[in-house]
Amino acid sequence: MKLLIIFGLVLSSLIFALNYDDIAYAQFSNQNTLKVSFENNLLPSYEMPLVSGQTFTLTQNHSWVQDETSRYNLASYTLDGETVKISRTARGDFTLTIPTDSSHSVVFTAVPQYALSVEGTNDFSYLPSSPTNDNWFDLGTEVSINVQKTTEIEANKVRQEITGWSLDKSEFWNIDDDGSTSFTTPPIMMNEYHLVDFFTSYQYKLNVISDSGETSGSGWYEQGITVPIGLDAGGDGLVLNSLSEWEGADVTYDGNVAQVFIDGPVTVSAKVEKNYSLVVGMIIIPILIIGVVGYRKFKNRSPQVEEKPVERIVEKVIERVEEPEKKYDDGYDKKLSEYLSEQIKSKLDEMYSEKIISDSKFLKFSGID
Amino acid sequence: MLSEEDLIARIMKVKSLKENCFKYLEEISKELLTQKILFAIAELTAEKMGPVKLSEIAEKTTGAHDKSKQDLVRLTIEKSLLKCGLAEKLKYASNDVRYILTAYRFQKIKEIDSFRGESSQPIGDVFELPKNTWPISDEFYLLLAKKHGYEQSLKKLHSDFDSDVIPRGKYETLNSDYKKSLDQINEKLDSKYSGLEALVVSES
Repeated sequence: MKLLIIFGLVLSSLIFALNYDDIAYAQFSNQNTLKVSFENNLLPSYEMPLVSGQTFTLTQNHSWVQDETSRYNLASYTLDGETVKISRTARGDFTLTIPTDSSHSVVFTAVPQYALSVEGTNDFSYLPSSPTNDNWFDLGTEVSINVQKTTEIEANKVRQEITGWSLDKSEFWNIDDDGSTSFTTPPIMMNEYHLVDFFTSYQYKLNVISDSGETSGSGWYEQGITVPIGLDAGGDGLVLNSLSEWEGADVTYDGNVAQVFIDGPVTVSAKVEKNYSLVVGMIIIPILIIGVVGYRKFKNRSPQVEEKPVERIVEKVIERVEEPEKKYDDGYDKKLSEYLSEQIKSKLDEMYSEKIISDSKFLKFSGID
Repeated sequence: MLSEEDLIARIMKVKSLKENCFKYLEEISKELLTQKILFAIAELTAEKMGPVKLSEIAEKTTGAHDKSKQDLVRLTIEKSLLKCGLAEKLKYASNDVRYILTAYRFQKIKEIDSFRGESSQPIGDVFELPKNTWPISDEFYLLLAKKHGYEQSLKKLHSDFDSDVIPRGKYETLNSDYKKSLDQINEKLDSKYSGLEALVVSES
């Protein structure tokens, strides 16, 4: 009896289960559906049931990986035959509200993109800019990179100058100094991943200053260069100015040309001294001569006046101006400094001829580079 | 980039090489690409004061830096220079590999295997790469030149004073200034470039 009851229960459960599947299938077959597919089968198609009266939101990633160096990015969708462009962005999800009153189909269109990386500088822009506002570009587009040639590292002291660039570390080009502040690469075809590497060198500011006259040599220079500097001291009327020494840096001399070796930002100031010899020659001596001549005339007219001591004093003054006592050479400091420069240069020449210094280094020391 | 101290250490070191590796430095290998690469790495390193890229070595040794030339140079470096410990490969980034020599002076050795165990015996003099290929900063050469300049200038100053060309006051001032400058140069040569001056100048 018990066995009969158990058998009956099992049989009724089976019959109910079969009937429930039929009911569920019947419900699904009556529902509206959404068919989602991708142009060129970039991703597998799928189908979703739409429940009438409820809001349905379709979600799709804006970008997805194709391989190690490329990705796909959504460009448009077609809803029941009507194509709509999508606002391009690199990250996040694209959402679309689908009406549930009837069945629909959505076809997404995506484009392949490749990255264009830039190294060596942060001060650059893409021409044209990326459709996804990053460094990824659609297959087949041509992109240039515009870069600022100089970047100031420390105001008026140190700056970075772009000197060349390479594409994918295989082709190299120098960037000439044509006076422009920026450089734009030729168009790069985006059909694969590309890396643009900018080469830079540091430049240092040399300031040549003076309280009077005009200086030369100020500017930006690369490390290791020897720069000639100069001063046109000029004068204030009859008072002439002359350079006595340079201060602020180790100034060497190549013949009469003062030079500064650039190993960082440097300020050199000229020490100027006043030279009154022209004043003495053109004003004081004539006055004294006129004085003496006048005095002699006066003496001839009035012989009774005692003149000798005054005349002697004036003559002695003239003597002192015309024939100064010079036992020692006044320009000895300068001569010794010139001798020092000659010796330094001769040692560099010697090391070069003995093949201790390479050609390129020697050229740098000679300031020819 | 490598520090200046590291580069100087490579110059100061004398590396022992077995005959099969020392041959790359000898006259018999003059026409071999391996020796050309070795000298190219040395010259480029001296110019840049740091390790050099494969494309630069290829350009200097073959006159081109296309992929096939770079592959040829890389293979040569790997099969000979790296294997013998003459050069070193430094990886700065996944796509930035550079090369540098491990030393600039080399001693040929012969390995002796006896009942006392293995030992090595030097053969001949120390071989050094040309001094103008050593990675030494410009500052060092300028210091050497200035040292010579100040020494000679002081000699002239003493002699001029003895000949009564300048007065005592001027002599004392200049003597003190020039000596001070010379002392500063010597101090820098002794501290930053210790041992290098003797190697570069005295043995040249």
